[in-house]
Amino acid sequence: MVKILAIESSCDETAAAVITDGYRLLSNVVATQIPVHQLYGGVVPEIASREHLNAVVPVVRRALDDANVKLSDLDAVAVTKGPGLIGSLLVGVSYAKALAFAAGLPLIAVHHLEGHMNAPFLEHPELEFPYLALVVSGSHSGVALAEKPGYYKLLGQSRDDAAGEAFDKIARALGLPYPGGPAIQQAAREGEPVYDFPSAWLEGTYDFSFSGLKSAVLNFLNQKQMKGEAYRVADVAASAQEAIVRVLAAKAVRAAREYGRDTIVLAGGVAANQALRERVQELAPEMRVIYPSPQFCTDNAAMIGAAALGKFARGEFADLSLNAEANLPLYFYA
Amino acid sequence: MAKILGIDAAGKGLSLAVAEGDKLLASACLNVGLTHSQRLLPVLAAMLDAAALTIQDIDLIAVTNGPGSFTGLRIGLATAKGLAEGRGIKLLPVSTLEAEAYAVRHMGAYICPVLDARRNEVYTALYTPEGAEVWPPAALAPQALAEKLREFLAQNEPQQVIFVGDAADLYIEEMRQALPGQALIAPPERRLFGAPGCAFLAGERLEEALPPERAAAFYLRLSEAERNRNARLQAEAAK
Repeated sequence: MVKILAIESSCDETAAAVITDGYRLLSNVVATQIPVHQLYGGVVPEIASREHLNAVVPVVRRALDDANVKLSDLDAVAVTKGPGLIGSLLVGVSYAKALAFAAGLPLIAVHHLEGHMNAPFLEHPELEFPYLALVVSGSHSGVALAEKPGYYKLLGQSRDDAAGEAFDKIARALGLPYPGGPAIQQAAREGEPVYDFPSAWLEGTYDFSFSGLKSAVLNFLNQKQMKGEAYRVADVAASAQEAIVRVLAAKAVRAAREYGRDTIVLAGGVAANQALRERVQELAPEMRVIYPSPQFCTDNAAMIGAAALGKFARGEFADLSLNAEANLPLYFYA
Repeated sequence: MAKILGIDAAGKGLSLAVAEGDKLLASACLNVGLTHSQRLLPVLAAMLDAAALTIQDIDLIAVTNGPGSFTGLRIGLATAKGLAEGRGIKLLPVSTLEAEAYAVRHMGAYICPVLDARRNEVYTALYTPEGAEVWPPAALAPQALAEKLREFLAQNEPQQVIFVGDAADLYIEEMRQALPGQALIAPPERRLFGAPGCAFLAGERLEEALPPERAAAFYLRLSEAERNRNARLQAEAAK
């Protein structure tokens, strides 16, 4: 039985997990920094890096304890090498390399988005390549073809804000808490999408743009305020969510049809959005739509472990000069 | 006797050293730009190998924990924590300023480490020629530091100060002008590399060794977001 310790620290969650054959999780620990960053209305990179340094030892130790394994029982240490916040990534990468070196274990480097795209295997080990993946989080929005393990082709991505970032910024403007995605989803349940905010369709591409939507919502709120007109936060939330969801869902489904894929995988924190899940299935009733439970949508180390299992089997190891990379393209990334 | 691995990644230079008692068994120094995260472990592996040592021979990890480059400190500390945890041994954080000052002890001059703190400031402190702390660590503008040193040296013997650290060459001309005949600079091979001092100082204070989860960085400065937030809260409170 292969046992891999995985470490993830690309944004504001310090996470560690132990995974074994068949995508079986032996432990999964996430220390979130959300309460710290809520004071600032979003992730502060320097503070995130500081928190990771304090959390990394206890989080990894707890993952080993929960799995009831010792370092000497492990076969490899896997870590997210990027993309993400460089200071945050460096803590996980430095720690993982040193731990692997001191314990005499091989090191595996994982692309953060490959992790997200492999998250569905944790609950659907029978899932098979190829599939279409819509990866949507606070820092990424992309449509990708998952061809085979380790091979992914990005068809399009956001040209400005990520979908989750748009949720965060709109939530802040509405006086809703960080992170914005869950807050807007919650508020939208009480509202109707009565306002027609713009979606950027960028026809002929699988790219996204959400900065125009953010500006439209801010202008709307300013005008309402200047004119002294009332509006319902729930309706604005529902309308903004609709503008984000319809374009994400439409492009994912269009890409799946164009490339003849019968399975769509939703991944990343925004994949926890109920409206997005329902819309994709509505638009593509003939397709299998798979999304992880919320705990595997947001950043976690289990998904890094899931991607690492394949790399271990293929003998894809990193050496001790591994560096963290803030920007890391996903194009037939192996 | 304990073999202590010292790590200093807090500034421009990257250095590693293994000390045993008063013997320096091995050391490695790089000054090739800020590539610490890529270089640290390969250099460690090569240094241990060349010295016919393995990480299993190391009894204690010592690391400079600040002040210094925030990112550099975290690379050093996260690596040190991983090594200590992977080996099941303890970790001993040492002041970056003190470790760098160690390289120019007993040269008959007060020791003033200066590390680049950006924003036109240096992280600095003052030590006696024997290495005892005179001024605690602070972030100061070089002009303010020069003025403080001028007043101090006018009343204390010896009337010389030696600068060490990654900002020493940047400000030495300014210091020579402000302190005529009193400002010395450490030779290049002792200017940037805190690892030997870190390892030797750790050997003098073994009782301060910590389990790896308890070793923290000493940043000296809050993050910019915290400073702005505190300033805003103070301004609101003053209204």
